[in-house]
Amino acid sequence: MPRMKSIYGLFCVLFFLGSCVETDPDADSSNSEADQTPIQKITKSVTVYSHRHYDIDKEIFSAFEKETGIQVLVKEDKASKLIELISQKKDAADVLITVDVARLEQAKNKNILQSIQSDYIQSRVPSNFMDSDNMWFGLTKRYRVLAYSKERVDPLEIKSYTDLAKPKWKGKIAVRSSSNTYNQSLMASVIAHSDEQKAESWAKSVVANFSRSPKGNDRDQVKEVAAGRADIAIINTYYLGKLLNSENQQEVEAGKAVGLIFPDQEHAGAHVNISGIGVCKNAPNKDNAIELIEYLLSDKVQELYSAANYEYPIVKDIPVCDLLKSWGSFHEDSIALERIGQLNTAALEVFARAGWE
Amino acid sequence: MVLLVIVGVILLPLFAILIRAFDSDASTWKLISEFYLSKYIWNSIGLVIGVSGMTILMAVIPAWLIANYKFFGRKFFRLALLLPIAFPTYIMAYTYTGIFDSTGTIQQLANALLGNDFANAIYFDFMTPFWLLLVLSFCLYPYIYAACLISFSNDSAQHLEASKMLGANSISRFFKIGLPMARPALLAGLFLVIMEVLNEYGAVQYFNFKTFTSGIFTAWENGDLTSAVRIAAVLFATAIFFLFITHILIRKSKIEKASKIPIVHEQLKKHHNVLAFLFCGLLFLFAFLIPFIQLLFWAVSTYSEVVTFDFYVVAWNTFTISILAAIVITLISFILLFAGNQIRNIGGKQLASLGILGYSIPGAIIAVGIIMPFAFIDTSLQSNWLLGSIFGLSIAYLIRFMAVSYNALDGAVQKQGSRLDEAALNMKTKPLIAMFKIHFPILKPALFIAVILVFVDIMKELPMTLILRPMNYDTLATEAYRYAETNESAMQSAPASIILILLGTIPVIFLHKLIKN
Repeated sequence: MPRMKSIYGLFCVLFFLGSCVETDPDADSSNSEADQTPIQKITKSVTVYSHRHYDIDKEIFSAFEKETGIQVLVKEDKASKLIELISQKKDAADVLITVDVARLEQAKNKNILQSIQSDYIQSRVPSNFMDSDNMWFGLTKRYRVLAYSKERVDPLEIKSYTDLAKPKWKGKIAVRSSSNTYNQSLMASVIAHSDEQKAESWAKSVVANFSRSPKGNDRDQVKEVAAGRADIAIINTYYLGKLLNSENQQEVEAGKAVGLIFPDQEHAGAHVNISGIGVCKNAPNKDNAIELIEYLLSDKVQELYSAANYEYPIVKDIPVCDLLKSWGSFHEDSIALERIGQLNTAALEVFARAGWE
Repeated sequence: MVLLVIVGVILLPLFAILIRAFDSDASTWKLISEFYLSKYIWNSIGLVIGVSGMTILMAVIPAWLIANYKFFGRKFFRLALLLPIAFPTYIMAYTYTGIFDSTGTIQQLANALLGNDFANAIYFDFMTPFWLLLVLSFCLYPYIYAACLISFSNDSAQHLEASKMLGANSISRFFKIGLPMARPALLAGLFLVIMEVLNEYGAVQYFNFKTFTSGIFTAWENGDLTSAVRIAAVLFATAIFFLFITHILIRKSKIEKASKIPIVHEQLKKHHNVLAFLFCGLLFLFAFLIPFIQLLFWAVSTYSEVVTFDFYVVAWNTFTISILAAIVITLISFILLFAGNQIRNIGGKQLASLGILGYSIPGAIIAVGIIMPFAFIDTSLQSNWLLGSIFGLSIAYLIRFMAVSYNALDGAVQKQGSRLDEAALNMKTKPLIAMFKIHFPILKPALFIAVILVFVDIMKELPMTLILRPMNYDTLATEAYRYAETNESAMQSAPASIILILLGTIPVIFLHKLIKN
């Protein structure tokens, strides 16, 4: 009996210790915000809310800490949840990072971002990859393209997203759910280049060509093609990079079984999306936030995004890794991405009416 | 007073959410109600019914066999069949997909052993509703198994022995005595299973099976939180409907319990012995051993690149927050339960049981309800005490998992009856003292069970932990999610998953000891 009691006691003590220790950094930073004179801040920090969950991001942040002495505090979650948190607690974060342009537009519409004037940033990010009010900026580019079976498909047979609607691909197309944001942005770009009605009839034909009802993630779609159950998969390029570098030899084989088609070379160009960043409206550490964004746009970091995560650098003329080089150069859609973000709801409607699960 | 405060803390966020359902900025609501809502409702109900049936089969049969018979491996299975409770459903789903998909283990083995044609011939699409149902059942049946095992071995022992002497055969003993007497326990376990199914998110999203939770998340991700909350309100109504049904069924089946006597375990004869072993063995194999070994293999091949020093911090974080929050939550539900019983005549009991409603709401939606009041308090106090603190996260866990500990304790208190309270009253002992001096020690086993169940649930929890955690704070669940979701790599998430599951099995072993006694 006494032993039991002492165990309970120990747990209670541990609990309080635990909560004290864990909340200390928060308490410190709030004190330093509230109590310290602005002239002498003991620790400089920047709070990052990020939808990017990659290992390389952690490495980049710790390199930034070493170089600048600015501590990076990170919380990773889905953009929608982070946006809700920031809109309820305005000073919770300094920057928001998303993996898709639609979420950046969402954040802008919820009025949680602020306009940033930085000559350096504006010189690094091409104008179609940033917000016209300077609320958000692209960090990396991601193309949503077609992975075809090298064995069964002649890449000359399919040149555009429109071709996916052709009856010859009946039962041959693998793609994930319409609740996926990359698919939504692709649909938004289809709408942007035609109109909602045409997009809908296109989508209906594509749905009729599905090899199975949409499920799984992008990697799974490539595997469907490699296994011969579909001929064409709609995927983001870096997932093929990840497959080709998988620890699972079978996944590597699956990756090797497909080639990439960057569609619409004769028209608008391949659909491109971004992972991007914006400074929060009430960012307590705005200067540090801008310093971080500038760092993320530096040559070194831009190269890392390609080398470690197979994404394309947003900054022009940055050397890419060998794998990306092997995919060749191509013509990309030059539409202002802002427009893609704005068409998100229209895209959802088209998906619903076309029965794209 | 205490009662009102606790129930208030729990219900406040729920109301905060429901109010938002009336916002007018639901940009995609028309779309959802026209195209998806009925699908969400029917898919969810279908999944609930399917998983309920499957988990009852998976739980009741081995519990009955283990409680009544001797067969090969009985003692081992008694414990082993509890273990799948440590598996988060999303990890089970990713793991099984990794076993069965076209680059998966089965295909690799088939290819290597019997060639490509054979591999193609045995391939099947794993990502179908049927397999989803099965995967969820593997993770969830232990809730019912544990409850039934206790009931079969303790509550109905005397009746079973009597009927045996009167010559009733085993089948009629099962249907006429065992099952009816275990009904309250079975239904209590089933209620937990149903709530878990309604709230399941990771696996249904991956399988693109459109249920309430996948609808909630999709709407929210599309920037339409109002619609997300409206779907949550429909889900909430569905959950209350199921709560209502299980409660009525439990009330109907109140049975006078006999005193405890040990059951004489009957030795099963040859082929029955083999059948019992096969049933338990296969269940253990598929619900735990196969996915566990698969994760172990993956963990070995990705260990070097994923596991760093941080990883141990992460494991420690997970363990401490889970155990501490579990203890606090159990103590609070203990207090709530007794406060409710003290003022039984003025509806205290009903008020207290309102506290368990949080379990019927997906974690992410509870997070929304919490963020609003917390942000308000934090901003007005110029502090960071609630949002992004361990304390705030613990309150979220309290709201979500109160039901788990409350139910476990409530069952034990019901069994104890009110005689002790009356005796204490006669001795002029104050209720508060009676609570700590009399009930607390007697209920110690039940308290332990409650702590363990909540601990395991918190360890597996994802949506609230993700958004409400402190900065630079990861848990095993968030790490596993990070690799499985964004990197689309079940292999890389394996080391975190394995540790998560191992940590979860330790308390389950304790749980088993408690059940045995």
